[in-house]
Amino acid sequence: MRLDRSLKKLGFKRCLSEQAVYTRGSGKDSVLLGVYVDDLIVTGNDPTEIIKFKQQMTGEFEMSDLGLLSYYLGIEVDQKDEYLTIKQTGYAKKVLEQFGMGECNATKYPMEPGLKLHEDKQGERVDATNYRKMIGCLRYLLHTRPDLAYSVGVASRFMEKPTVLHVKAVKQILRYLKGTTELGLVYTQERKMEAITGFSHSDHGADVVGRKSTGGMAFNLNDSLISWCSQKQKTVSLSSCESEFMAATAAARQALWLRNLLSEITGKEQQVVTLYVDNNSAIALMKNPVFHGRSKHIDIKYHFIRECVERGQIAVRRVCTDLQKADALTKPLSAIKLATMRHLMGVRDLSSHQD
Amino acid sequence: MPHSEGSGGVTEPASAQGSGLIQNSPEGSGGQGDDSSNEEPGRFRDLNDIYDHTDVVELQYDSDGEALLAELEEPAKYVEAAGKPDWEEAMDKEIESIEKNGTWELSKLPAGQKAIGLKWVFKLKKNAEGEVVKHKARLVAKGYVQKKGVDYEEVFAPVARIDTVKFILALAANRGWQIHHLDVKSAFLHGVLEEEVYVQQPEGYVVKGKEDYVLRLNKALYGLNGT
Repeated sequence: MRLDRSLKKLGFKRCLSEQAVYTRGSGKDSVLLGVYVDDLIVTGNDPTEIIKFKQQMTGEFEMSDLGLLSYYLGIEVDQKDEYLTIKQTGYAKKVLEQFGMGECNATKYPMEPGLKLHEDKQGERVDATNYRKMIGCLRYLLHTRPDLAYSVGVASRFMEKPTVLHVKAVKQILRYLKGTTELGLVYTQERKMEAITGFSHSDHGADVVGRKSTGGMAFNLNDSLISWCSQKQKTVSLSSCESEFMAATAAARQALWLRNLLSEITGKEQQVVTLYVDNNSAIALMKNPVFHGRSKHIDIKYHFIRECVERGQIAVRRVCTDLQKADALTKPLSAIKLATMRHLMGVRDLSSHQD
Repeated sequence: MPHSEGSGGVTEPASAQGSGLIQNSPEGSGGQGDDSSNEEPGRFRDLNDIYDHTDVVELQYDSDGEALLAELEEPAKYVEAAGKPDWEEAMDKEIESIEKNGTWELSKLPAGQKAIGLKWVFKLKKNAEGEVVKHKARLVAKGYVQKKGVDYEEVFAPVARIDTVKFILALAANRGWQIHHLDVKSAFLHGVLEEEVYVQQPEGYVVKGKEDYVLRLNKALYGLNGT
């Protein structure tokens, strides 16, 4: 409360689409602020404006100035001249130690390609609490590791009654992690006007338990991957077109939010978000406002995306599977494919980061 | 604990006290009821009675090993901490810090106002080896009895989503902006209250001769809504 009032007194405006973000000024002297309870990150075009802000804040609060951001919410941030990187190497190593996998042999992928993990009703039960602990730790790693999103997501589905089989799957993820602790994301300086692009994809009926599809989405701010998600869809779909359509709808909601946020933060008009989908019939369904006989069973809420397209908020484009950034979020990939997709998403080995 | 001996000693007065217990329902059952209560007295003991006879496990006065065990435990309430130097000191510190901050002042409770109860919360801070490094006592308000609109207005603890954080980082990277990090200290205690909130005097620190007074808060305490 107090913080909110003080910031407003200092001329800041709270964003409507994200109440923890404040902006002040525009153009050359603009300052952008992110708040996490009592942890603040502040950035802006003019370093003297940042210094001025710090001085203003010191007058109001007891504060400590931690200088250039290097560690935030467990994420290691490295700011260089031309780019910045985020990674969770320290946390990843701690997780491996914690679960006795510090010295394990590394593998090339977090989940066997084509593996269909099931409930394993007859399997030998294991301690659910420990299993959940492992999942919890792995989920926290997803903040900088889109390549783990699918496998960790699948493993999370069995938290209720985990068996030896599920623990084996989690150990596989940890072994993959062992060889990839240094992976992280690179955000580069492009000095281009910011635009958001999204990718949505689904793997139709991949889940053997309920035959539900897994949907994935990934969003970029220019070339930087900022948001992604891998999730089992809530309803069973009858065709790949339908599950793609549902995945795109979920992505559209996120797209609208990011679009609002971008416009509020930059003070520029809202732009069209391009959403890339790799299924032709799904694209046709989104663009064509005619109800197809084959799609009339699709719930009305999923036609939300069609409205977004009509209003010009979202433009749907086709992308070939090789460039589909959400591909790794919907299925387990082979080592080579995974490495390619990882690279496509902007994940890099940061132990020797030069490019 | 010598079990048989202990339980015998405990149950004896329990059945004797009879009247204070939830025990058997109708008085009318007469002599028969008395008989049965003598046979199985343990089942009908009142909670208070159990507390009276079983509380404060005498570990801390026993052998060395057990005394150590008691030392490492976190008291659940004030009475368990009272009289123990480490915890007394921790509570003194907390009170001192609160008073130094001008968090409250002694006052009469105005008619129509309610005073919110306070509770001591005790925590042991341990290092990586599991050794106790600090005894911590924190005074919290039982904020759950507050009513929205009466005792507090809006609850607001801004938390940026991780996607938003990455958004800001990516934007700053794209524009070549520097990102700085600030940490606001004790954001809670600095919050100035909008509403009039009264709390009861904390256990162990009731002002002599002013036992019926309450404390009017100027600043927020942990647990209070609307801060």
